[in-house]
Amino acid sequence: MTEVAAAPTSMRQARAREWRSFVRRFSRKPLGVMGLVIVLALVFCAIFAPMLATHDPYAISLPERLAAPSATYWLGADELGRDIYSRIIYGSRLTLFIVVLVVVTSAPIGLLIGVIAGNYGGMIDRVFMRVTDVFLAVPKLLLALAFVAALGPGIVNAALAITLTAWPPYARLARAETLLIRNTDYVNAVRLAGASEWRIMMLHIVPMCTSSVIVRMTFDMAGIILTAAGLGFIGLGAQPPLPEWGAMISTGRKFIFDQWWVATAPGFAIFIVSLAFNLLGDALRDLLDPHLRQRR
Amino acid sequence: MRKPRVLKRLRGVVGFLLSLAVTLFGLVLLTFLIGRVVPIDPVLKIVGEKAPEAVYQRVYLELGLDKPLLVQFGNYLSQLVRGDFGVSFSTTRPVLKDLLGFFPATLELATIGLLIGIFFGVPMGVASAYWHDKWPDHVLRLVGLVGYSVPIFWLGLVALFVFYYLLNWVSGPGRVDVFFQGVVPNVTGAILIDSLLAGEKEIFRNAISHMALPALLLGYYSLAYISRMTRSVMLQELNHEYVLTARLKGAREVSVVMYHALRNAAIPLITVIALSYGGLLEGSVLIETIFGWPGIGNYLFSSLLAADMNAVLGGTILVGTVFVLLNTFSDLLYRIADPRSQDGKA
Amino acid sequence: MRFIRTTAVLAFLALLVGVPAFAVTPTNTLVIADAIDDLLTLDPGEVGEVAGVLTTQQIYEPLITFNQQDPSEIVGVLAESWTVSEDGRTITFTMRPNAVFASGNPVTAYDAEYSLRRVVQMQSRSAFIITQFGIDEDNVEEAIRATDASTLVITASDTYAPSFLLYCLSSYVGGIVDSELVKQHEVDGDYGNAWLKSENSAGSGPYVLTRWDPNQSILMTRNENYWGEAPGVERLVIQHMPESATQRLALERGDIDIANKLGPDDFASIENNSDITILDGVSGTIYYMGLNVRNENLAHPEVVEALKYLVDYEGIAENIGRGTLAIHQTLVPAGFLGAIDYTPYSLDVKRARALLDEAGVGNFTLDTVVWNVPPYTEFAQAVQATMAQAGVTLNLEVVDGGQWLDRYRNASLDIWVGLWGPDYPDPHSNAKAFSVNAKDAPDGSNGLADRFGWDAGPLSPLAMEAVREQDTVKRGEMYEELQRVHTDTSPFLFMFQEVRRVAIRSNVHGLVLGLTFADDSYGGVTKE
Repeated sequence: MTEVAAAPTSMRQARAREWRSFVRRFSRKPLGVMGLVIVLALVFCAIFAPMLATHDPYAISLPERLAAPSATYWLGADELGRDIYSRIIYGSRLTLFIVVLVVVTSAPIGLLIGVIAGNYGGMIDRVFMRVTDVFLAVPKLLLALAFVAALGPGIVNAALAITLTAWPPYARLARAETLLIRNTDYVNAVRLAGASEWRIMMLHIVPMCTSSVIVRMTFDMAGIILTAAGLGFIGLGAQPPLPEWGAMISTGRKFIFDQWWVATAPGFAIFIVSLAFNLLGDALRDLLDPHLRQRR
Repeated sequence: MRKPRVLKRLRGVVGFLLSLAVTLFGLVLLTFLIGRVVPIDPVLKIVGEKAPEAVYQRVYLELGLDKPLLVQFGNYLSQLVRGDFGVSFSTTRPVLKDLLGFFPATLELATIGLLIGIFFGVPMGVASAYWHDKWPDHVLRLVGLVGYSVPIFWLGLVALFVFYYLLNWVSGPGRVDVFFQGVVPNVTGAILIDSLLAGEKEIFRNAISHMALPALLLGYYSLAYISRMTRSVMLQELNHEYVLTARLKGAREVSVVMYHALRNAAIPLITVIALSYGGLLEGSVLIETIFGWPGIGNYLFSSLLAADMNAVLGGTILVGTVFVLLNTFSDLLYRIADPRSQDGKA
Repeated sequence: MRFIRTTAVLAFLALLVGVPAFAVTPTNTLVIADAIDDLLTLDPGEVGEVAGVLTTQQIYEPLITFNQQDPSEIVGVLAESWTVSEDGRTITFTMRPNAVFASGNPVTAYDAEYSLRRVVQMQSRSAFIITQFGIDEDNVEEAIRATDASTLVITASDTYAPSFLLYCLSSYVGGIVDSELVKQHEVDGDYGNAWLKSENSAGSGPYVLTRWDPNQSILMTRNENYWGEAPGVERLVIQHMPESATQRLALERGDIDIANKLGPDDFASIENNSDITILDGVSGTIYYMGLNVRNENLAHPEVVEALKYLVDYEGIAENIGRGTLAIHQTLVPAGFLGAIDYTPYSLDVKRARALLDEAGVGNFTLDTVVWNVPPYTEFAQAVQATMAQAGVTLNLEVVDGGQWLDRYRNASLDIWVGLWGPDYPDPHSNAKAFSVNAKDAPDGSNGLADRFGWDAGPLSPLAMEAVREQDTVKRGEMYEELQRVHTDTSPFLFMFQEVRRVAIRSNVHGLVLGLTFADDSYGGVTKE
């Protein structure tokens, strides 16, 4: 859309060119690249956890309780003598799992509701938006808490609970975008050509909303990690002995002044990863935001 | 076909009130359902696990739990319409009285936190946008992002350790020192204002020293969000034609940024700030727990875990209403400032 | 802009530095840090939770109490003396003539009559402590009555060990209220419950209730009319501070005087602080696991026995308890009548596996819920690890306290990791809970035995026989016998008895730690 070089001869060629230009511009953003590298490292840790870990993350050794960082326990041992480093490595799987699960559930739900509301307008819009408002207005932690309490704590339920609180902003975003798009000339042209509303929404409106939804998603990932950690902190996230980072901080906070490593190591892990998602999100936002793109 | 203005405005007000009412009704309904699905037995919480069956049954009937769900909901609504929020069994007081005690504590903390967030966040965001992709931008963004990425409960504990225990710069958990509790008459519920009203400077200073850490933490957290959104909005503004025009006309840089761009960015920024204020007013359970702060977040949290539904419903209605009002306020601002969004009214 | 920001930062820091934090609490105020969010009521007739009992203990006084150092010695408080009838059913109390309430009204037998009756008449949740003597709403006017201003007669429906009834009257529901005052505030026959619940007090103890701010603090002020020795400090504040880490900081900084909720690890690091003294107390609290014998695997006695060999008692007590847990494997806590030192079990995976094979069960899975607070989560994970070694998978679900109790009551679990704090320092409190089936209980109530689907067989009538035994020595022997069999055969896996540790500022003297679960007494505390 922006480059006016030799006109591409095929759709595929156009895509490839756009992609190359995207990569080039992205590589000029050092913080964004840093974020991407960390996220890739997280994925790497998650995949190769058994090879990277030095201990069994679940092996309890009471005499080693709260052992300080050493050659055997690189980041120390926790309240049951388990190796913190290995637990953090394995914990990356849980973190990634939660983030992905929340994102693939909340974004599509929000997108769908927003697009339908925005496209049809009238009564449907009003009802959908009131429901969205209600969900926005309920204190988030309360909603998540109630959900987890109702279905029992656990990592999947925690992720679904976060979804429950995370979809409304997507719905609002998608609706706002849809309102701008639905009456554009090309959508009207498709409509006149006899396409069904459903087809219009799925093939023409949804793709147009996707870029802003993706930007918002990377913004949210950090928030998801922290919310999951918060749920873990109050004992409603992953169940023991799973090495979920938030739950690890939660148990470690009792020893924070004497055995600082127990809470600090997972705290640092959460910090690094959510920072990475934030940096990545910022960079993507700068690149994908249509308002900013016009100028480059 | 233009209708008289007054009529139009009246319709607008009625429509607004109606949609507010519908939203609140939905809120009550949702919260009520939440309370029903949570598998915590309020009776057990009241009678304890050692009480014999007869006592259990008595309390079960007293709470009206034997009635059908619809009847319970109806009873609650009719009670609510009369302005009665019921009694919280976990504090044994009327819910309204509880809310008037807990909410000001949260309001006070959130407001100060938000002010800190605006005070530092907006300039940071503006500077970041101005030096877009240069080193000041990177540094400022990192500073902000740290606040957005660190688990706040961890930071809270560390901050307590350093500034309270090691350095002794601030007071510890709680709103005021114990021997100051209940000294000043409770007028607004905000201890800073109440102590000033009573002319108790000592208590005022003590309250500040208790509030400093949690407020700074919340401030840092909202700073992170505000500076980031400021940056993004300012980037858009700085890319507009009028900025270029102003520059070409020879306007000073400061005036271009502060006068032209920031002014135009103000409206979306207010929306951002209103929303983050709404978020802060929910109360942060984690901050409140660590700092022994008697706020609404913890009240809701512990009430839910006690299945104390009157308290949960009352608190949710309060927080939800505030949220909806803030939301509406920012929508209104938007609509006044940006005629394009008029067709998108809900 | 940068200039503005720098100035602002400096100004803020200057403001912070300019506000000196107070280093110590004033000597006329005693500040106790605890978690008070479980508090539901301050009416002595219905309290039951820790914070409530802790508070009412300072405000109300019972007829009698026991010597904290030697619980077998019972001493009079509001009653001066008492006599037990020949058949052991009737106890006659003579009231102390000089005792007065905070209001200035004298404490009479009529007050005692009113106070004890209202517990039964209100059907309070704590009434079971009194109704277990066969006293109910219909016969309470007969069973508890004042014959004159100084004489109170209590008659049980059956013969019980006299010490048992006395211990029950010494418990938290035995607090005597000022009947004249309370009657003035009765509303709709609520026996003054609404008035006493949260804002007022009407006791004869060393302190009176001034204010309770939920989730924040409880303030008590010295009772200027106190008939006993005047308390050493003017004000008592129980401050809500749920985090053990913050309690420790506040204690070391001197912002609180007594930290009630420190974790085992906190003590190790503050032991060297000369400003702080650590008090060791006895606690009757017992940590146990209940096995639900309705589960097809747990129905095998061999499996139950095997699980008793799958807990690393020493490791947990030493590494997790760190001086706050003592291995204890019988139902009567040490320090109580009839307590014995009997610890037949220790971690022995081989033996456990052999027992499991003997029962003919392969590997199997058990579900449990655990309260999301320490030490339960740590216990449970440690046990989970050792059980796994013998092929028993323990599914943990960590939940909030409310759900935890709910699941326990519904008896839908295979294993319950729990604690039992006796309500009064008599062995029957525990014997009844762990070994009496509903069919043998005079009030027909369900105990823990029924909850876990266990028929205690001959142990159930034996426990009831013991509580009726008049001869204390003989009674003690009966409990000894009962405990050994119980430990060997019951589906209860007793693990530890709590060793209470409380850290206080060194300038605080005269704190008496209680014996049950929340009966510390602050009346005699002084501060330098």
